Amino acid sequence: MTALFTEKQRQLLGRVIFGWFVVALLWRWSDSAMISQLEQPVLGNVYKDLTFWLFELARIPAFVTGQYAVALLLDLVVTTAALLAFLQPSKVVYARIYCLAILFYFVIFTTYANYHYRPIIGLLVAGLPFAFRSMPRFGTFVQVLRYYVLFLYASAGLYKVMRGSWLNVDQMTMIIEKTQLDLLLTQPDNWHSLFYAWLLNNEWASWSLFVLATVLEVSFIIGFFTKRWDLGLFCTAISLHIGFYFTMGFFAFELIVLDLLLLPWNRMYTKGQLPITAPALSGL
Amino acid sequence: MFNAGSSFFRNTFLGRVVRTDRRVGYFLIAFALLQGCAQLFRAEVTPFFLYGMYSEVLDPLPTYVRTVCHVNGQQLEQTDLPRYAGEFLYSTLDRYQFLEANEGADLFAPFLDQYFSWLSPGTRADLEYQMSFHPNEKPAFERWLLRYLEHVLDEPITSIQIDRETYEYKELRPKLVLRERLIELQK
Repeated sequence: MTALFTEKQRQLLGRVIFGWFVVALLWRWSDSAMISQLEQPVLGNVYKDLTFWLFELARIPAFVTGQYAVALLLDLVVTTAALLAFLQPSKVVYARIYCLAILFYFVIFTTYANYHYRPIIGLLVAGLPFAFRSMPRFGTFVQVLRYYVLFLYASAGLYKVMRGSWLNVDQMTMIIEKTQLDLLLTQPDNWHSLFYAWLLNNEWASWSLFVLATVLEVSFIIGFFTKRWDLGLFCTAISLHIGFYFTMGFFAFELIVLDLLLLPWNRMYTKGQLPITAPALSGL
Repeated sequence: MFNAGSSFFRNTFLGRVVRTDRRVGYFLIAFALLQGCAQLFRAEVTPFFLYGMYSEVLDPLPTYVRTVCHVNGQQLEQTDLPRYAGEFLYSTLDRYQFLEANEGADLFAPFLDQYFSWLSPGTRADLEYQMSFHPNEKPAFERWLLRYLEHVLDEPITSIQIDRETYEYKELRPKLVLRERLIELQK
């Protein structure tokens, strides 16, 4: 059944999601990762991504980064829109401006980061439901994002099964050798380096962790058939992120915001209140 | 058979959305189809991402390459910088060293030839030129490197060296095999 929300539930979810965005953006400001702080980069990569090609062919990334005032304006618009949507989650205009501005930020930043950083998708899509004034549409898009989260993890697990990497005993040690070279060289006595060294020395342990991650990712398929296990899947997603940090040194703060959509927001504040239902949906 | 399929679809989330909000329903079906095509053809076009998460089978490599940056005579590690600044700088340097190793050859020409052969050779050449990095842009890249590092480190910079280091794992420990200088900047 389509999840139906009350205005109060929508506001709560809106504050959590946009609050997360504000923190993510402030973190980026403090790390000099906003467009106006990139100092007019020249080396970019549009990958094989046709959306990036369109931006590049329209010369949007070069135009925005080349004019400090335009870059600063984009940064201020995206941050202010997120902040206003956090303060007034019922006003759809802020969410709409945020969604449009973050798309530009996403493409321009990722182009010049020379790294197709997918976890940032969380900042891009988690605000979408709030761009709709209609409560049933809002509920539909929250549901859609829930399915998207399930797809994201389940497909990651299925890829590992179908490509056979979960049977590759060397897989995890190869990942560590490839991604942790810097740390192993520069801080060999750091606790994280010692842990990586232990994993490299104990291939069975690193492979077991990789198989465990694959199983956990595949388990998200359950969510396509029932919502009963959503809380468990949320905990699984968080466990995966903790595992990614320990085994790969990778922490996807922007992606975790999507995991929040597995929580039962439409069951909060239910005492004495009925969800706002559209006549079209009331017959379901 | 067809009726059973139709009845099954009507009871799915998408089927219910189509019945209650036709426009959104069709939009979601189109999105799901495009996402499906993206998976099938492994074409990553924003926002239709593929989430492989290290699913490609990795085989042991004979050597591994890393980029090293020295600023004012001191080695600057990625971890010396704030998280996003470090990732931004080092992924850019890694791409620079990749282009340098491949004499500027990027991935666009073979990709355009494979999937956009229906475009005229002139159009493909124009597209490739606009999207690629060119050796004559190296001075601009070096000036940017200086600006960005001064901004992030918040101190005047007099020299920058960028090296490519090649390592191999011996007894599970990385050992340096080769060091090559890519950029030498003095202010």
